[in-house]
Amino acid sequence: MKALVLIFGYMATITTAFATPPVNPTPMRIIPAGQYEPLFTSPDQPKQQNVASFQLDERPVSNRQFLAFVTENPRWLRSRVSPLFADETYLNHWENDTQLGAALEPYADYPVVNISWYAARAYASWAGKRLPTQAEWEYAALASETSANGREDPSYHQRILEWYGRPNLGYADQSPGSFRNAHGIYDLHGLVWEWVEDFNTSLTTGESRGDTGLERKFFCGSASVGASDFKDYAAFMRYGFRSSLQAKYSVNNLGFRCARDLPEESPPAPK
Amino acid sequence: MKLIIHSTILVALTAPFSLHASCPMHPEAPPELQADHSCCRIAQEKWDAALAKIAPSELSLYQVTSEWQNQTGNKLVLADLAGRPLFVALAYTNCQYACPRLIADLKAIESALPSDSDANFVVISIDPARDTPERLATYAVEQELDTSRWTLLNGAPGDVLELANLLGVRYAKTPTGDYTHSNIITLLNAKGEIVHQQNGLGADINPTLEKLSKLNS
Repeated sequence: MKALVLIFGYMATITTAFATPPVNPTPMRIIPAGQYEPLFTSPDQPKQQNVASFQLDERPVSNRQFLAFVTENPRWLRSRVSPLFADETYLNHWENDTQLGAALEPYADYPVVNISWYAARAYASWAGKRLPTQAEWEYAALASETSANGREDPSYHQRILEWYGRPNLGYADQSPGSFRNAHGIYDLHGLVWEWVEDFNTSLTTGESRGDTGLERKFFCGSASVGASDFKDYAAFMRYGFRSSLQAKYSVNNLGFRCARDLPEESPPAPK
Repeated sequence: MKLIIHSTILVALTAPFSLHASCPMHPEAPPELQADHSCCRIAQEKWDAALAKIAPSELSLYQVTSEWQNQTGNKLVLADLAGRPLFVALAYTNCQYACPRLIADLKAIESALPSDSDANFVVISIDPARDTPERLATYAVEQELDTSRWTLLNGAPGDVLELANLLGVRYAKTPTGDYTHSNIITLLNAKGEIVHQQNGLGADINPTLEKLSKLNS
């Protein structure tokens, strides 16, 4: 196992060495259709949710890729972005609007962090993609290195929890490529948290402004909540983290990756 | 030019996955426009033109670039609604409980408006799959909405979610196909900035009307 980690770490180092191409579209992998068990379900909700096959970026969007985006879309530059769409820490680890700076340059191919949900969506749209849904992300992230269902692998949750339990050193915490799951997707765990399209639709807390908890008048119906797997602390933590976010927040260990629907008539997967 | 180069690379590299490149943002656009994403550029230009008509403001919701369809099927960007005060609410037409009351609250505001007020009303559907422009047109008739003043909008699910986040509205689909959602009426000024929010159903409309009168004076 350690050898595997080393190999991927080595590969990541090589990737970092090629610093020239300004835009390098991330390869995508086809995630096969499957079933995902949402952590929170109401009593009348099916325990399993079908997830249709979709494409997911192999890797989180990097600093270098995001730089290309803001350069082409100046309204997303740090100095120009509207306070509606990003808070004051947006891209504050970059030297300036269009330069990563000497300190960050070695980490140009590390996941970009300090970006808001709005900015992540704008990037995805620019790249002709979209953000994954929470169900898609959780389903893809359920895979361990060897199995599409990491729940069959007892050490899997433990490893994720160990990552969650370690103090996070921000964007340089761990080399990209350290963790490749059975779908061929890198770093769903171990590097940074990731935005999903519907990050705040769990509705386990009140509405996002002037929040005083659930009150009948403010909500049409109320979500009755039951968790499906109390052992999956890691999923609890992700749900908890997501529901604490607001769409304009920029957080120094929160990045994103893109997804895409399969084409209508999907050609056979390349061999 | 830069955009075209980028798109070409993108299309070339993703070709094995999608032989006929389609734009997720504008799936109904002609294929030749989707191929190099010029559909997105055209939408961007349309938005630029609409935004140019109002004084730019960094707190304006009209910076949102998404495209919408109104109840007559016409496409628009939110900046097209600029130039007058706007009351905005998110709802869906199949809703049995809160939405009819939310619409009633909007109507109460409408009937209390001064006769010279040019304020308009926008209802955005959080259930765009069922609330097609046709359905929204029927709903406007059922609810006796004056469509010279009221606009009902259908948009892509992600764009609805983006607007909901900007307005501080949260919603989620329940297994029965209904939605739980916050009941908030937002007043935007002519530039699209939030000036007031009325929370909850059956709330006192006077503070909202006072804010509106300050806008007009």
